[in-house]
Amino acid sequence: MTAPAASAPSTTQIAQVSGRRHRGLVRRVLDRPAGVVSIAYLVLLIVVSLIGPFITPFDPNQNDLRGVLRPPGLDHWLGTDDLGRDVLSRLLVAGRVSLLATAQAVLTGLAFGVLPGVLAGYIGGWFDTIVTRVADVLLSFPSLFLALAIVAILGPGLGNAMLAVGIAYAPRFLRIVRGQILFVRNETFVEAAISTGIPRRRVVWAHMLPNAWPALIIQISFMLGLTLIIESSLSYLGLGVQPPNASWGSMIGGSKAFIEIAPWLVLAPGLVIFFTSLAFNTLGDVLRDEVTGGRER
Amino acid sequence: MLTFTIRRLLTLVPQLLVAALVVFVLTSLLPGDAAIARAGGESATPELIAQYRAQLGLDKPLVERFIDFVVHAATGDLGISFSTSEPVSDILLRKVPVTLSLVLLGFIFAILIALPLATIAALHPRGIADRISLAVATSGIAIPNFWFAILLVLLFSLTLRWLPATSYVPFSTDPLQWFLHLLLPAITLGHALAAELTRQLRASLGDHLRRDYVRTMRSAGLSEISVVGKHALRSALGPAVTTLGLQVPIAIGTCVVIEAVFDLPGIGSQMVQAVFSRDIQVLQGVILFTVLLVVVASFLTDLAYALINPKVRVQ
Repeated sequence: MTAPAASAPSTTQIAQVSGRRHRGLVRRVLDRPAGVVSIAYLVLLIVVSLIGPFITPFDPNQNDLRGVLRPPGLDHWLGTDDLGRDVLSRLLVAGRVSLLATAQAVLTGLAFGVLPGVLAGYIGGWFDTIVTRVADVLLSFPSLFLALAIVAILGPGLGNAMLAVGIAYAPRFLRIVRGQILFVRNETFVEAAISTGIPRRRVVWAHMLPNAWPALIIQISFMLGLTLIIESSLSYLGLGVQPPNASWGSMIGGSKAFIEIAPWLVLAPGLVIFFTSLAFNTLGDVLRDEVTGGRER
Repeated sequence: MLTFTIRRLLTLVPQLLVAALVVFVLTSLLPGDAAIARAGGESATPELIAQYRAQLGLDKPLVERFIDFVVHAATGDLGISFSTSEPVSDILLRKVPVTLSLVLLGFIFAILIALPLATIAALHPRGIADRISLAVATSGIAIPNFWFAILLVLLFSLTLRWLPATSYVPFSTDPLQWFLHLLLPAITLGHALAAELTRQLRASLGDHLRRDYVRTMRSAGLSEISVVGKHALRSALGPAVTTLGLQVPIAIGTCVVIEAVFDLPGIGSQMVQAVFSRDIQVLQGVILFTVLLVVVASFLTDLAYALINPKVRVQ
């Protein structure tokens, strides 16, 4: 009679312990100056991007042909571009485009990577062999090339480009998840969960997959930084966001011809891309240090 | 060593076949086929399209077309460009030297940056060099390459007027001009590649310097140059060589953007052009060739690793 009563608290206890561990991780990350600065910057950026369209000083797509290529000043804080559009306004709106696109690519990567990774690790055998081989081949393509090929199939446009980048990055998520599932597949707690009669599917999702989360979160952080760079590169080449809309990358691409007379057009979006990517990478570094215990240096 | 080489060489064949399959499937998915393009677009008469389809072998079943594709590719026949009617293999022959020059110089710069920086950083943890190495490792990843390239152009070409900003001069025409035209692109690429290499080398050398054999050598009175240069660095280079090999696809991918900024006629800019003009044949050829390059590079990496570390050969 006591058995069911005893098992019920024990599962909640596990949840509590893991919850406490995650809270601990957040606190440990926030204890590090690099962690707190990156998170503060990213939160600020997300807030600004959300309210961006409402706080722009000028209409970001409004041409003003009498005021083209104005240097930064009191009127236009970051100057105007070759069509007289306010750079700060465009930067604010473009941020939303860049961040959403980056998130879309990483979510696509997770969508295409996690399930096959789980199945490959859990089922094993020929399925595992085929999945990992395909992933290896995808990884041997330069990711930008793969993205370009997929853009060629689907046509230019930011949505297609990010779908492409997501697919190109899926193998990385796949490998992490597969590795972690393989690692815990024969552990006692999995055996115990299965023997208590919990459905296999639930064992995989609720008991095995959570072990992959720390490694996945670290990878997601690095991937966000990398994807932002790839997104801006594709948009720079003209294969991402299409005019008159802008992302940070396309703002640089569109003003390359004017760098000699109007360097501010290139400097501002480039700096924002750099700081954002730096924040994602630093956060990834801090997370990795804290998860693996002990810092690298 | 010979059996290792042969065994490793044999694994290249299935790798390339799978890659060819992926490229073939990807490009078969493209809307509109070669015959329509050749016949003059969607408005062409169905008879003309059918005629071209038969001529190009597009009326055959997919499996047969794939076998044709592989056999032709293996003999160097990659088809004819839709937009310029030039054989794809000729285009590649013209463009590949540009990209290879860039990649080669890029790697040389990466090593020139990473090797001294990582060595000094590992010898003096938390010193100035260590901080610089961390900055290089971080900025190389976080700075967009095209932006870094534009900044270099802004400084060295437009402001100081020391170096040319665009175009390419073949090595056979003028080696000095070849080098000067590739200097800024190669620095951009080298900066990007040095990031991972510095981080990796710094960690692995630092690890070796803490080991017992290094302490023994030092206590036996070996000079610091001999301990670090001859022993610790050599052992630490193994993983670094692997890192270099893994960076070949990254380097080629980065070339796409760098070639666009510096207006270099390499396979990267060719690829972008092919995407815009939807030139499937060129796209196929470029991707296939790139995969070949990556696969060969990973083969050479394994060989180099086996040379450095004899244990690998018997596994």
